[in-house]
Amino acid sequence: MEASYEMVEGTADFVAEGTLLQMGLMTPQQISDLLITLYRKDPKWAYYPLGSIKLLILSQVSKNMTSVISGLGLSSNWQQNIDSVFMSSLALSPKKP
Amino acid sequence: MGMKVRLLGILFFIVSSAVYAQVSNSGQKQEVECTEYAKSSDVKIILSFLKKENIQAFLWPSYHLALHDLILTNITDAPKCAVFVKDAQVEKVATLGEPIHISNGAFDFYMEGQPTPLGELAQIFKSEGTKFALVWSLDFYSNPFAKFGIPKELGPSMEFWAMVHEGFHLFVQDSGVFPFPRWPVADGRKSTDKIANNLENSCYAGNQKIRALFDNEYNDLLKALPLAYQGKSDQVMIFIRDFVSKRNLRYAELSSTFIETQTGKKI
Repeated sequence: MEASYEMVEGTADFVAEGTLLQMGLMTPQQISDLLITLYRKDPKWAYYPLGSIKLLILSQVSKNMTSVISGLGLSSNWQQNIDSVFMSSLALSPKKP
Repeated sequence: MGMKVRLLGILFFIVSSAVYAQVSNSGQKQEVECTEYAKSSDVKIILSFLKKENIQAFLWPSYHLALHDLILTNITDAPKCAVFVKDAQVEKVATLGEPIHISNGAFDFYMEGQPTPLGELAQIFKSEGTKFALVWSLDFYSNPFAKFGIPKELGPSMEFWAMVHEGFHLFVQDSGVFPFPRWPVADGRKSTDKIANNLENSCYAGNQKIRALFDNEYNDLLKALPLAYQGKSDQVMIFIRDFVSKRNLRYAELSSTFIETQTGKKI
């Protein structure tokens, strides 16, 4: 459930941030600062960008946003989520509730 | 008697012509205002962001905001104006009889067959067979987004960021283009306040213990992000491992927690 909600908002955030990065409208540092200030301003929303931060970290570590998106799985093969992609890409083993 | 009737007839004609002229003038004035609004710098900036030459590649397969129905308005300064945008160009400008009602004060989704507060605008969508449309009020820094304290120096880029985010919800996640079997759905929508509030209270901030655990793990992610941009992968991994171990503590606390959606399904 938790990871599912992170997917909904996190993927939308990630696509928006990736679009702005790609278009040169914002720098990586601005995106990073924004996520930090934005969600610390109102703690109620702190959990909101969890998915996108994970995807941004992954895209930086892998240097390839497209491969991160491919890793999420598309169309009828959509069975993975951000969290499992994040964990497996970084060779970590999540313990699920 | 005959003269009286004639005079009354003339008087009625004069009054109704004056009223018609006033209404007509007001309508024409409104139309001019909306045409001018469509040429305003606020609209031009968004159109320039949407231009294809600015977009090097599709970040998400087959999706970009420029491809879909986008309606720009300004519920503060031009509430009766609807600027229809398609392929990064103004397709048409509609002057409405009533101000556009946007429930959250910032944007609204139109989905064919779904309940909508968009009134007259929704009628236009219906008559044109529009399936999905994103309606956006271009007063980002005075609308409800202002509560987030977004730095004004980011200007319209930040507004564009929010438009792409919401557009992705509508055109990809809610449109059924891609099936997302594991995602929570309530009343046919992937993201609702009810789901978000339940989730927040149950899993992230419902009590002080859970809240403190979450803050710890979230801070680790926030510390890892700038390091990732600086290419310091080894340091990134230190924070990520900390994040995972702290998260496991929270997950252990939540092992018997379930979220109920609006449809009554527990997930």
